[in-house]
Amino acid sequence: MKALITKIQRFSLHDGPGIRTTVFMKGCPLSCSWCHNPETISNSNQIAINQNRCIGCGSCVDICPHNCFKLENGINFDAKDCSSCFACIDSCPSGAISLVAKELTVDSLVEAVARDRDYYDASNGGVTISGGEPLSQVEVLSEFLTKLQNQGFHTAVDTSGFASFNSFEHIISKTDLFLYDLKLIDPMQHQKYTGKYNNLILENLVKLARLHNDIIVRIPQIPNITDLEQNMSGIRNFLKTEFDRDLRIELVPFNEIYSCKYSMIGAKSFSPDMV
Amino acid sequence: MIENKTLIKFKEDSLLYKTWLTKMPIVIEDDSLIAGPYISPEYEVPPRPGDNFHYPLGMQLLLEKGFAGVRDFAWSQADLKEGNQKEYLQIIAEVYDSIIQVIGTFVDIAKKQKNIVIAENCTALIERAPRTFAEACQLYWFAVIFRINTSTVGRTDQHLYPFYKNDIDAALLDKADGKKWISELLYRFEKRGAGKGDTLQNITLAGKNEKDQDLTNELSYLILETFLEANYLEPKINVRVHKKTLARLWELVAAIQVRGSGLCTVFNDDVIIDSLVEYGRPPYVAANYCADGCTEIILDGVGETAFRYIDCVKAIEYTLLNGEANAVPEKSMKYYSVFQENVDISPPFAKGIKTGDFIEQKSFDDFYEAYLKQIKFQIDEALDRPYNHDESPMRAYTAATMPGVLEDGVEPYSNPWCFHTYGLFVGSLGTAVNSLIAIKKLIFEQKVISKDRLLEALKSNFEGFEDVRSQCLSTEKFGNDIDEVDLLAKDIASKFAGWTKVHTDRLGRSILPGLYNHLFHHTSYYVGATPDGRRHGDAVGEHFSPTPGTSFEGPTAVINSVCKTKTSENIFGSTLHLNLPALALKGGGSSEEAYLESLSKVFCKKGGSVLNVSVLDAQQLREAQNNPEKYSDLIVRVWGFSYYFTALSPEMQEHVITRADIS
Repeated sequence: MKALITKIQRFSLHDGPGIRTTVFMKGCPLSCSWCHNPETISNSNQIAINQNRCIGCGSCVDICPHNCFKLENGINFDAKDCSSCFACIDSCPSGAISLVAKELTVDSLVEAVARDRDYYDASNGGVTISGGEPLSQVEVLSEFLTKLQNQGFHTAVDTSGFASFNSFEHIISKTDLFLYDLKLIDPMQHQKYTGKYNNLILENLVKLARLHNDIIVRIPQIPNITDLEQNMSGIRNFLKTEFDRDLRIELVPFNEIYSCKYSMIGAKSFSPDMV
Repeated sequence: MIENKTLIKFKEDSLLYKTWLTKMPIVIEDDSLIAGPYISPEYEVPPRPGDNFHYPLGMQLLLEKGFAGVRDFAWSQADLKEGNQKEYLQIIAEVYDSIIQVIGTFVDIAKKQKNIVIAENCTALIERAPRTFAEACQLYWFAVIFRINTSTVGRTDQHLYPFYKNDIDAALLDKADGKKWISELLYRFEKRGAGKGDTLQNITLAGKNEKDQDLTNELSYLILETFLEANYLEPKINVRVHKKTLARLWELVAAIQVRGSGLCTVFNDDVIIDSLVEYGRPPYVAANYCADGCTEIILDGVGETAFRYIDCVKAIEYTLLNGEANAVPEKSMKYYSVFQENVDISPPFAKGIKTGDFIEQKSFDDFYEAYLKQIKFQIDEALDRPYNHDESPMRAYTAATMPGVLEDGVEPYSNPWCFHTYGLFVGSLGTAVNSLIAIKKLIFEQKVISKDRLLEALKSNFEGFEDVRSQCLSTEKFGNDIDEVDLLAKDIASKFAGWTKVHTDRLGRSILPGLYNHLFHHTSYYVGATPDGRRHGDAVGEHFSPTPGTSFEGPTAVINSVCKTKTSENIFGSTLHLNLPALALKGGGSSEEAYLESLSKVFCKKGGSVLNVSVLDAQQLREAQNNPEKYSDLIVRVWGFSYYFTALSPEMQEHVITRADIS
């Protein structure tokens, strides 16, 4: 069984304790307008453009059957009509077009993350699986976690919470730490900005907290959306009333540097000014 | 034996040195504990060719005997010798007598100024060896300034600790007093060196002995704490660590590292000492190693140091062009600072040897074999003549502190009791390996670029060959934990070490190899475009570090790549400059110090030998380049020292920014 992975990020310091490697799995049921990993949303592979590599030869413009490419101050790619034929990749002489994700076996994933075992040991770090929504590839996720656990790695799963609880049950015993995202407490707002209502996410968190001790609730601080006092106090209130213990909370700052990732995959980027 | 010619020169130079001594400004500041000037532009003596400030004095011998003891011993040994040896020792005795006279002048002034502490300590040093910590500190500073120019100092905590401990045990001193003395000593190093860049003024702290016992002591901590509190730049701090190094020392190291400016270099005793022993240095000598003026590994107080270079990036050109160099535009640049004169830059060897026509080569193995021949050619050329000894006018003073010199009346250069560090360096190996890998992949395996086209592209500095350059850039690079690349580096490093160590110095000891290149910014300009996609003038790697801007997988991958090579085999120093983005370290679950500590510890666990960490902010450096007046105190690592970013030459500024630009 293979996992569809967009990135294996080493020396990852912001997704759990110590020095970690974060594996980004592709596919997410939500489509948050501010997503900082937009290339992980779709559950199938897609094209990515590296502008720095582009030499402006126009081969991709010529070969694309759907006219996705335009040459204007370097290459412009619009993914809207892309049929994933990937003919452009082979046509590019400079390696500026590639696939955003790779299919990797669990064993090769374990081998990749094991390269930094000494750093995890020295810093009480480990491996974090993020995405995308890792539970959208629950079978391979479960197998990966089993192997990591057998080899003594500390494991963390970074989840949007949007999955069947049955999927959670597959991985609860193999996950040392859950990084659980709560974005918006108001269901309508949640639907507006992520494409889905939040009831499943909130229910899952309540259930998960009964079965697992180590959960960090992470609230992204999107200017004028999630960081508004009304939302923050709503989340605090939910956490206070629905749980018999205090869950740890982490505020995750919004980082605009990721906006370049949108043009890389031919999508329109989010900006707080759009609100 | 000492030849007549050598003795005549020695005599002349010693006369000159004695004249300099008489001109030394007699400075005693109000309320100071230690006498002796630390800055005096009118007194500064410009170094002459042949001067050598890269090795420390035999500080331990000097502290044991004192200036008076050295003089008296030299006289008494001279009485036992004949001819040139007798005269050699007499010259040394006279030089030390002049030193003692200078100290006498300090006594007079101290008495006049009613500085009783200094008057007493200096009086003691006129008569005998130091007995107290205070006297030892006074001798230490005199010993440093009598060298005239700034130079490497050695293991200060080990030199001074016996005095400190005696006084503490005898209740003559408490920790607070000790700190006062250390503060004053460090203040003087700071005043003498800060802002001057490559002063060579290095001290080395902590470490273990040959019996695996930790020698970290209270002074090691006191020096590091004082340095941190005072936010000093000088002396340059180097710390020796090993498996038994305690948490307290690691924490202090990380606390200095986190300041970002590359001021604390870590040396791994667990591999360095064993390797020095393998290179024929006795265990007690090996265990007493220290840092040279930069981060080379030398032996404390037992000999001189000299080094030569070969260039493995230029060797790529020689291999591609059958011994010839790619033509590059003439370039003149500063040594490293805008305050310096322009220097001409040129490779150690203007040509290679004929190793065959690249066009005719059938496989990468053919090319690699030719490349290794170019490397071996440079090694043999570089080592075809003996190393020069120190020819500075101060050498009567320094030689007397070396083992066996006073006993035998034999100069250090040919004295078997001395252990000199003569070495050969090759640096920027990562850049050379990237080029080899690009040739292997693009020319011989994938065959996507023809040999002619690559040569044309390199000759044109990739102008009009953007597609070729793009392909060259896309091949795997050293520093990303890719075995194929890293093991090629390992193979070259190991062959370089093997071919170097068969060469010996006058005393029959191996020349020590090292993966080091302090002139990396020159290399960038005397080497043309390279097959890794680097254009003429683009950065090459410092020492044994990846090419700046090509470590895409972060610091753990860099350390893994470097540690696949047994760097201790290249024992003269194979320093990794590890650059970390300031922003990435912030906001994680642990402190920035904790991450740095983990990285250093794993580096050592994996067998790395010398590590220097910089924390850099590319955006800040760009701002500093555009608004230098706002960033006049921004300090960055250069090669073996740290310096004001805004005072660096434009080329060096660009190099540092490339280093900071971490994908």
